[in-house]
Amino acid sequence: MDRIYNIMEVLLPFSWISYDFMKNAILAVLIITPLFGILGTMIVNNRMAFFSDALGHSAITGVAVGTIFGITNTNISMLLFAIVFAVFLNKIKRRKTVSTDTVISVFASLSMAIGLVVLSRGGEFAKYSALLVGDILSISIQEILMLFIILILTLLFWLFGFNRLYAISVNESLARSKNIRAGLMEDLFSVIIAMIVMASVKWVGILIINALLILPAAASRNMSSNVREYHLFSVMISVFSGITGLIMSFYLGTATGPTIVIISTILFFVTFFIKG
Amino acid sequence: MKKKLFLLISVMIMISIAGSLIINIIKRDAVDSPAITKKGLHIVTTFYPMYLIGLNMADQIDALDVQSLTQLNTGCLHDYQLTTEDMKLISNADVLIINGGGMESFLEDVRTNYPKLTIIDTTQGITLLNNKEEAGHEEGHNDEAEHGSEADYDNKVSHESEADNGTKSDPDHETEQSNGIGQNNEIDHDNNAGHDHDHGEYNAHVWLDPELYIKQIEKVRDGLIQYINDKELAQGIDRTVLIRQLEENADRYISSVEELNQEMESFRKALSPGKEPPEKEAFGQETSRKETSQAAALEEKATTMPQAVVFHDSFAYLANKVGIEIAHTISLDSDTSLSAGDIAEIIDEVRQENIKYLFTEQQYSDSIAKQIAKETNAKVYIIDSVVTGNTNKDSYLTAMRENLNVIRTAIDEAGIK
Repeated sequence: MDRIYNIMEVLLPFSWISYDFMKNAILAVLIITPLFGILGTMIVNNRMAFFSDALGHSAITGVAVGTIFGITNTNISMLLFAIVFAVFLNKIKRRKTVSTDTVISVFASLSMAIGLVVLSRGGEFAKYSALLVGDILSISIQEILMLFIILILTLLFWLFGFNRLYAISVNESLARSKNIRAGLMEDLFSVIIAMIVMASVKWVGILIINALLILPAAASRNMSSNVREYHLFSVMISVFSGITGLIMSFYLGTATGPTIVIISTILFFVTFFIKG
Repeated sequence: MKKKLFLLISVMIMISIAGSLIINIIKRDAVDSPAITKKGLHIVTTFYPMYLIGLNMADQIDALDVQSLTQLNTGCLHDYQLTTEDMKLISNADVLIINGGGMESFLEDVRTNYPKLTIIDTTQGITLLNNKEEAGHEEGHNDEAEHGSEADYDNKVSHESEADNGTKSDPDHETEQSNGIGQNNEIDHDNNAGHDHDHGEYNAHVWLDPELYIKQIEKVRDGLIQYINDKELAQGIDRTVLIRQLEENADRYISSVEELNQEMESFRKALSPGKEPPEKEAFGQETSRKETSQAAALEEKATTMPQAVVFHDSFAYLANKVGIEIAHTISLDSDTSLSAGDIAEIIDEVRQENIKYLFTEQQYSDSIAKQIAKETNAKVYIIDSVVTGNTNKDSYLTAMRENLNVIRTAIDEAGIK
């Protein structure tokens, strides 16, 4: 790790890089924003924005569950809960007895409510408010490693699964006729979203985590005309707003997550009007 | 494709330029946190009461420079989050003075990022009041056995708990024994020294009791002196002179706080003449703890101590000091708002017990207090918990005197009615 730090100091001759937490943050941003960019494309395609939002909200229940069972590392409880949440939601959704957005809304509000009920016991919610807004200083080396593992998993999944996933998103029946197991792919995709959301929700904040997933892809969709452009632009926009947002938040003393979101929103509107 | 890429990149460059312009404009007047050019010790304090101690300690000493981590108007640190600015400040600091007792919930971040930073925990060795009932009994019990000090405050609004802990007031709670907080009185070099509790269990607002505040000052003094003795100092700083100056400053400040303490003591005596703090032998002689404390609570009620409802648990210490009994503590610093049922319960209680005072605080909204006042005979008084203020080093003294005045007026007014 020290070696990476040294390399960063040589490569980036700025004053902010001399702080370890900024190095951690930069590393995390460099790993996570491409992920957001890649996954976001499919989320936007499949109209799953609401789904990932609900997943983000489930983080609060994850933490609550963790405190109930006395799991000190809330990362684990958050992750487990989110995976269960995602898979279960998919199961219910597939029944098609109620419309998707209703199901998701029910799940999202339930998980938020459980989380709030548990965490606000004895009026102690203030302790967890950092979870809502995000705290960039909470990034630790372990978390960066975790992010890195998720990055590799996602890339592998994308390499082998993208075509199938894309086929499902174009037309599910057609995909089924080609022997693609739509349910499995969807579940895997949801699990990956759950992982990435949980790995970054602590420093981005529950309230805006979804924006990071959606905005770059949405902005990129504004101007791209094929899948390759779509991916490239999305990753570029995501990384750019991540880094710029981090540096600006450093100098302005603002919360990092929201700053990143504002920048990607600006990009969204600029691309929107360029297209128009 | 190329055209679009070019477009996108130029948009990005424009945003970057705009961003750096914004940074420049905003930063121009707030030129980077006071240039660290002075050599010597850089002391960073977490929030206002600690800042005041630091300010007084460093008074007239060139080699010390004191900065507050949070803005002076931040108030209580319950849900404070470190910003990157704060981390910059800490990374330049030699010593960090904290209130401790769970007040600085962000401390873990600081510790993991700067394991070598010397942290002076000013409440170490001070027995904090409890917020939670169960814990209160546990600890109160130990206390009683050894020192006869009992002070448990009920943070929640509930009648049952009122019945059995009765919020005894006892100024003798600063006994030098520590349960729950760190065991040694050394500067806290050890990162894990019993700091697994957090806000909500303990009431960390000790500075509102001048007597305990003095202890905090002493802790800062000892911590700084120890640090100076342990560490290499920059050239041109004379260790012995520095220590002597520090001690002088500490003495001066302590004596002025002590004066204030005396004023409060005499106020308490005047308020309840002939009544010393609750009989120590009465408490806790083993056996049925609950019964004794119930009896004690009843006894307490009979002695007509002025009762008050307070809207921030910090007043527990102050009320203790001046001999006001706290009937209810309503914690407004948490994000959980009171339910309508809770408020109704309090109103009932205020009516029943004929409570005349509602002490609320500047930093939080007083809408609930006003509502209660409207429905009952009680009046709202505003108390300053000395968590905000300016850079005047005597702010603590003036604010506390003002508080004493407010309480005095409150009691006078109630008397006239």
